[in-house]
Amino acid sequence: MDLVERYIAAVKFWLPSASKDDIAAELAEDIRSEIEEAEHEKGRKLSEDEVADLLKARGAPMVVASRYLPQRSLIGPEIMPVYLLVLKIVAAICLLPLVFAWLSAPFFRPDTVPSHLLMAPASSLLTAFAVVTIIFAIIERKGIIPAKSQSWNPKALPSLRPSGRIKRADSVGDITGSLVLLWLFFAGFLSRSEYWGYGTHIVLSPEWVPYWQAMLALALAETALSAINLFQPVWTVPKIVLRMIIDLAKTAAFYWLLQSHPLRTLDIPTSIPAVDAAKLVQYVDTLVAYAGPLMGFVAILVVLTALWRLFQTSRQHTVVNRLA
Amino acid sequence: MDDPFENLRLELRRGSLILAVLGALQREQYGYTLRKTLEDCGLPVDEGTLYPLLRRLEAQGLLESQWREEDKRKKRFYRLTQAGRDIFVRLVAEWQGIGAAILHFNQPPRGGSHGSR
Repeated sequence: MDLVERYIAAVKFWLPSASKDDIAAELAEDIRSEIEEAEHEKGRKLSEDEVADLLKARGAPMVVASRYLPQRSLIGPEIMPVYLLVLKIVAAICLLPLVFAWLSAPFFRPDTVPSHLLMAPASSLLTAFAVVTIIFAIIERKGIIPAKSQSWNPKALPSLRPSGRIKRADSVGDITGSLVLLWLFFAGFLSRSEYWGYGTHIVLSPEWVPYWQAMLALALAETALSAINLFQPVWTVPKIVLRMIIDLAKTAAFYWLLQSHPLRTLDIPTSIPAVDAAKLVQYVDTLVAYAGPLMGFVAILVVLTALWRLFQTSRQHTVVNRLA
Repeated sequence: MDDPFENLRLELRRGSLILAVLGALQREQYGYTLRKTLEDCGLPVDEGTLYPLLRRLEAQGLLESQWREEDKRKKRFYRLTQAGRDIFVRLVAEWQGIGAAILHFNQPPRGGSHGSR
């Protein structure tokens, strides 16, 4: 019987205090009844091993106790898909700068890159995961999404525009790229025009600094647009026009930068004879000579893409109107 | 463990168990005898499933319980409340409807093929 009492005590440990005595008493009675019946069948007392087998068949104390507890999930099945989507986005945002930082670290003077900056994305990944999980656990506990899903309106569903649909992966990619740029800018990597590292000295034109400032402003606009696209993944006329303006502005900024003789000097250590610094600078200047036609071609592509999107959007409207 | 039949059988039984427990508790019983009754009727159920179920049904007001002494041991006796009786009658009707529908689907097709017209 000592074994049974120990078993009951172990089950009680996991039970809620309000009902533990009541449940334990009933469980003890059930076990005693089972033992009594087994003893009656065998015509003798059960051995300790037989009682142990009987208790083992009932399950581990924690498992037995868990059956009396209300079923709880930290993140329930209803909000799990949203939770996973948010986690993937957060992982992409946090890990990409880390990969980029590790890859680009050798190109900068080690003393200009604080080591904690390189590790920051890793710790921010853990923090972001914890924060997202806590937020979703609160949503689950308060039942916010299930309550909201009961009042959903079928008429508010997004229009059926399969050909004009924006891939969520594209929006996530755009946001991630913008955030990487943001991080590089505020980490100080893009606010100068001179770099050193491993005996190499690179001097760029001073126009690089305002160029990155302009790119930062455009990246912020792009992030806002991509954030909207993430939740409303269909092209509309204002979105198409805004996308085109951003892309044309980027092209124009790059063209302006290329005009500034962007790579001024490049000093490479003599220990790397395969690289002819003077020729490299010359190649860049040759490329600059073709900047006009090249950027013009890119600008035409941007405009054509916008026109194609406008055409698809108007065609889809026609189909939807016909169906209506 | 991954036997699909076994998984589906358990799922099917889980739903029917409530009905069986409500039916069996039209006559007052304590937990162990209830378990034996169900087992004798071909519905063996482990105590880890039965007792939490009894508590849930009691919390819903379908059962009531009372600790009483029998054979010099304190036992908890359960029986159906009036609300439990009403629910049981309605659930049995529902269950019969489901059974009839399933039996209907289980009939062999009578000549001709579907969708020929």
